[in-house]
Amino acid sequence: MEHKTVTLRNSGGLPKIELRFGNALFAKYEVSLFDQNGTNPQPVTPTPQFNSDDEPDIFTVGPSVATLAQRILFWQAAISVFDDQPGQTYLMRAIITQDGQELAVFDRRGSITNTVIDQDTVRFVVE
Amino acid sequence: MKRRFIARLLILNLLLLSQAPIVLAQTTSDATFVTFTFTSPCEDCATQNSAAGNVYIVDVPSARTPSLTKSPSLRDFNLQVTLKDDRTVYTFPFKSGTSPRAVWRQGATVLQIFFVPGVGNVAATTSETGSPSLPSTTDATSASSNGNGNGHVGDGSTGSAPSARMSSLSVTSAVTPSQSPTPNPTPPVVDPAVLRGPVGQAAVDLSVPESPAFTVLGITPETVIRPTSPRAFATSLLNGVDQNGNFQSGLAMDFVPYLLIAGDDLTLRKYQTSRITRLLARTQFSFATAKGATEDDKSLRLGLGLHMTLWDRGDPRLDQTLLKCLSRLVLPRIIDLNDTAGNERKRQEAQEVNDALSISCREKAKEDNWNASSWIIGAAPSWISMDGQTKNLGWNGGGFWTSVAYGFEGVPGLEKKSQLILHGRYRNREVVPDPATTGAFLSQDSFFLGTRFRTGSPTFNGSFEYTFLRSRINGLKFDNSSRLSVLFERRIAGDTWFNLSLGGETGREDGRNNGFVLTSFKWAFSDRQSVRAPQ
Repeated sequence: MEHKTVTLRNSGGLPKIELRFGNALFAKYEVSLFDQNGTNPQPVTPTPQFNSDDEPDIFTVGPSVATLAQRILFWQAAISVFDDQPGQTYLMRAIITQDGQELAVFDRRGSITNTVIDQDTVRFVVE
Repeated sequence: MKRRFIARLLILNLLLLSQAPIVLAQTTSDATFVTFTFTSPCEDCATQNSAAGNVYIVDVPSARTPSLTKSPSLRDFNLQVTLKDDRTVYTFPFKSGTSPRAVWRQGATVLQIFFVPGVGNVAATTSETGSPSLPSTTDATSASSNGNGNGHVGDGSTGSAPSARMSSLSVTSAVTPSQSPTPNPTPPVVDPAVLRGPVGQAAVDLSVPESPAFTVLGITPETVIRPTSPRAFATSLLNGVDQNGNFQSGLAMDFVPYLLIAGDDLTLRKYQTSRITRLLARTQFSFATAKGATEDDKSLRLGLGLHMTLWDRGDPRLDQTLLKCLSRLVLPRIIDLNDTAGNERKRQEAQEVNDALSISCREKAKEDNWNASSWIIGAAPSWISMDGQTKNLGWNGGGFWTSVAYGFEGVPGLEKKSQLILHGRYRNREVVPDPATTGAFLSQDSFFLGTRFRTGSPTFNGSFEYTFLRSRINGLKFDNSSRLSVLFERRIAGDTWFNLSLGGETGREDGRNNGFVLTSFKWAFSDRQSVRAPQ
């Protein structure tokens, strides 16, 4: 299975992932770190998170940068509309940063009627 | 005591009904109807009287194929079925002199279209005082519609079920609560016939139209473009303009500028914590063009609408109960990213669960917030070009609407079961049917004020409505009139309810001030109360 890649600096700090959901829709989400074979998931978010609470939707990934090499970051969200308005769309945006520098932005968007579950992955490359 | 009360109601009702024995016999023995039966509640179904006249339309999602039956008395039933996108449209003509009336039953799984004999017969069952009224140009379905002829199930304003002698007499939709003061998409233009027709015939719509541009042009577009990005918006506009730079007719668009520009960055927290953001996110524009009424008419009409929710205590994004309910959404458990098929199956299974949960949560929130306080305004200027060229557009009147609802939040005894609505609207150069000449139209300016209070309990419902209309047909004097009506609904036993409505009109220039007393029993047929009982 092909995954997008993000290159981390080995000398840098731990990367962070921030999830944003557009159009003020509700989202319940989780982030996991898989091994390089895409198995053995380890939770980055200890429990499912919500975009409706006061907690920031930013999470630090991994125990050390070196151990992240070739590992796969996976995130998924269950998104719900609030009303029956026709023509609604959703956006799930993941922003990966290292030491405050934005490394990559991944958008998943589409139409939504009631709910959508969307997922995305990225493989870490360490240099 | 209770028996004595019931006996009194029965006697009162029989006395009043005795004034119209012919109608009773007619409606009970010769009922003519078509029945659509669905396997589950059809929340997205709509009924409509065609603007073309004497054609009735039932519009259902294609996924919900109903079974159809008709009464033996209905002969020459000519049904046409049309597939339109993901909708199936059933169209059938009805005889002139009858009025189709949609009635939903059994939890919105059964839709019956009754063909009620002419309006005059219906009116005859009322006990009127004062001078007789003109036959109304309003079609009878208005009593069971959401205001634009579309009887959407579950919108809280769908017509109630009939009593055994046809609910057309009970006019119970007059007090059916809705989600907010503006729950209905594209409510109708205020036709003076509704306000001045036979009293008690239909509830006056006190909502702000969702798409004022459509309302001001008097159209119900079949297809509405809802662009979700600036590029889509620009493309839609360009497609609506011909090679000479003139707007083409039949364009209908709804859009929220803020979401077009900044929707990607609008997080739920930002919405919840910023009043300005909420105001911008709930400011919607509509845009529509329409051609002249006849083939020979080259004119082009253009409307621009604004709909703003200034304040809403029932905003679902701020509803902590709804947010808590939605927090039960499920996520699939993914343990091997290489198992693509298995993961997809898990995703689909979880999404099915989530869809049902989301719908259930939102329905519950709607029920809880049906009477939430809010303030909504709408405005729509319009223009006309007699030769169809955009450069020759000139002022063609407009409209302004406002509705304030108060849900008595924090008031013991009234909270959750009462609502007060104040509504005002002004229309300039509104085109209305000429009551004196069929097919002719007049230009009218009007100012309308309305208020409605409604309250309910498991055994008793009531509503009070007052409306004032100041209008002037161009070239004539102003006509001021007002109407007052009160409706009571009491459960007598089981599913049997007794309805009593009374009221009257004053101040009409034509002297046709009507008073009315209207009673009816509802039983078994009825799934809904006029006013929601407290949860």
